[in-house]
Amino acid sequence: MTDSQKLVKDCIKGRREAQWQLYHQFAGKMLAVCYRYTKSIIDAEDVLQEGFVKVFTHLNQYNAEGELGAWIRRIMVNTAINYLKKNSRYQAELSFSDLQMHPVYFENPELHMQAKELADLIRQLPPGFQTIFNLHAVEGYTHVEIGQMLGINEGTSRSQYSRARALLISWIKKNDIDSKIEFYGRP
Amino acid sequence: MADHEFPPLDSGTGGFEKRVHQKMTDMELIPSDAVWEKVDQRLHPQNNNRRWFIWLLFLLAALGTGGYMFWNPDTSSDISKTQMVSKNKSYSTEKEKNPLSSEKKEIRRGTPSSQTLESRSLNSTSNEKENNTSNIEKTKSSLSAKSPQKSIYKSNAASVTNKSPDSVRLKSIVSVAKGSGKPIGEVSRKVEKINSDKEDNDKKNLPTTGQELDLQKRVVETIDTVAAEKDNARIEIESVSTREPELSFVKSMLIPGSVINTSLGLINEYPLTNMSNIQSVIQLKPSYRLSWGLILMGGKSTVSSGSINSLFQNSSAAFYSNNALPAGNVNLPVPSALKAGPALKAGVFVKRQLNARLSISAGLNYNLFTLSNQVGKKVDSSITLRGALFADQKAIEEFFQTGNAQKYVSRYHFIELPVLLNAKLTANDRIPVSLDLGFSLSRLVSSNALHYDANSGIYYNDNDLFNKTQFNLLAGLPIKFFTANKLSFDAGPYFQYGLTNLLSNQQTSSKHFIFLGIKAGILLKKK
Repeated sequence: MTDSQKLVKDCIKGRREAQWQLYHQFAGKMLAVCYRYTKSIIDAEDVLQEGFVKVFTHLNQYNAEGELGAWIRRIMVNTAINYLKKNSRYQAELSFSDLQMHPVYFENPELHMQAKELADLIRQLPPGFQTIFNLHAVEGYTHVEIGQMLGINEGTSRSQYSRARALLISWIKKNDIDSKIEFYGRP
Repeated sequence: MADHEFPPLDSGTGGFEKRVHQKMTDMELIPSDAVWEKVDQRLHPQNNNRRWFIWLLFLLAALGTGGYMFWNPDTSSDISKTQMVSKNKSYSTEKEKNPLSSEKKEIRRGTPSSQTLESRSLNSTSNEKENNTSNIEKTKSSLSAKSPQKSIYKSNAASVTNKSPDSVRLKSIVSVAKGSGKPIGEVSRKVEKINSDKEDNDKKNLPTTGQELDLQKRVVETIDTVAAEKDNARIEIESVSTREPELSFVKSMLIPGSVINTSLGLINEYPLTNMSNIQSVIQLKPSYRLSWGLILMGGKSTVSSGSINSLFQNSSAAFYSNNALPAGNVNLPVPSALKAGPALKAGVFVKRQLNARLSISAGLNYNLFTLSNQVGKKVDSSITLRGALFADQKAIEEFFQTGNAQKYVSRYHFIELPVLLNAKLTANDRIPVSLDLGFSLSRLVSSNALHYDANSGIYYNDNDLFNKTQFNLLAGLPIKFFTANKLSFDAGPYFQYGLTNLLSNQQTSSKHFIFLGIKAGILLKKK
């Protein structure tokens, strides 16, 4: 039995120490996922909290053959989407029609600075664009899957993604040359 | 750099998506401690219920003692007024239903109620209501004409406080030191004789003021004689209010360790010709002297992030000295949690009584708090840390790797200056519960605590990253278990919360030390 499997087994038994270990192993990366889907770090932490509660309560459904991190990540993404749907602040703007930069709350969390700039640009997309862009470009879901997840048809997802992508690229181009270097990496 | 060296941003080659994916999957954030606390709270609700149950019990205990205090207010100021108004009414009724045997039971419990004592004093005066009433009236009228006696009394007892023009009422607290036993036996025999004389007088229905005075004199002489014979049979009467000589209460003094609060009436209702005799043994003014003592506490220490829920956590995230993550896709090691550990507090204090219920104390304590966590192998080689905390860089001579190889106990040695206000919650000594509230200033003298550097993935010791001066909130609920003339012993739960953030850096959420334990204290009074 690997360490990871033992950790999962202990978590299923409800051992707090194991749960704490699992949480700390994945909390950093998962908070980054939640951060990209929300507009504030407070919302991101709410999603993270809800997501980890689901993780621990459904850990017995985890298939040990798959990667634990990927399984937790899927739960986080689904939790984030549900959070956006339930939260009226996001729901009102999931119409995929607003092309203006969306205000976000910069709480200046500690993170990797190169990724932070890009993440903050993604977070300035309207919520609908932001969600579709994250699901397709970052998580790798197909437009069919995205359509099913969000309750929209595939064509809408595809077109909205294209608009979001174009918008994001234009913002990156507007940024100074240093941002570009950071994004592409120095040759 | 030229743009053509990279795929165009808007090309359809998928380069954009790849880079976005790579950047985003590398990204990590450190969540606040509150997230885990909330997750833990939702995963283990039964524990939290238990904690709330403990809090509920504490609240109920506080409300109970508060309610008891409210319904049983201190008798020191109110009883004299009540007695003045109702003494004639209670005179006959108390006499009828208050046999001497019940008095003794009351006294043996150590804290007779004022009403019982009053009735006892009244009962001892006479068996006949009418005779008593007339005696009181006679006494009052005679006293009103005997102002010189009042002045004599005042001059002899300069420290007596006149609370009203008509009455000089003093509360008496009589305590008898446990001596060799010999003086107690002697007093007992003498008082028994006086009691028998008194009972004879009662039988003969001859309760006159002159006889009462005679009895008083004999009681005082008895006390005086015994006290003179044996130094260790020290009888201290902080204040006296005796409308008449109370023999049974003197007898009750002979019960080892008994403490009696009495308020027996109006002192100006009888002549005080013999007061000078008892000056050597009776202190007429409550003396709030300075006393000192020793404390010892044992319990548990932990750190909290400051939220209410975190107060009950048994573990806390590691002390991050640097949470700047390294660039690149690195699988970062996870620092282990800090677990609560045993703690010890010991010290000396001085205490001054402010009034009957309030006292203030200040002291000097040594505190040893511990926390523990799991660390990896110890490495005795230098490493240079870089981060926002260090102006340039910091060289570390030894450090621990992450892992579960061993348990590391972090010890924190504090010197503390506490100031506590002690409020007696109960009106009498039946439930001798007090509430301690105060603050303390403590200084971290030394520590072997470890900080975690996320960039290097190591634990290391650096006491410069602590706020060494701490301001703490203190609270306790001591219960007095034993009291004697020269010392008293109390014990009870004690709580300390560090109001100052333990960490001087702002890399993670704040950390506050918490101590929860049992305090035992010995108070040594001046002879």
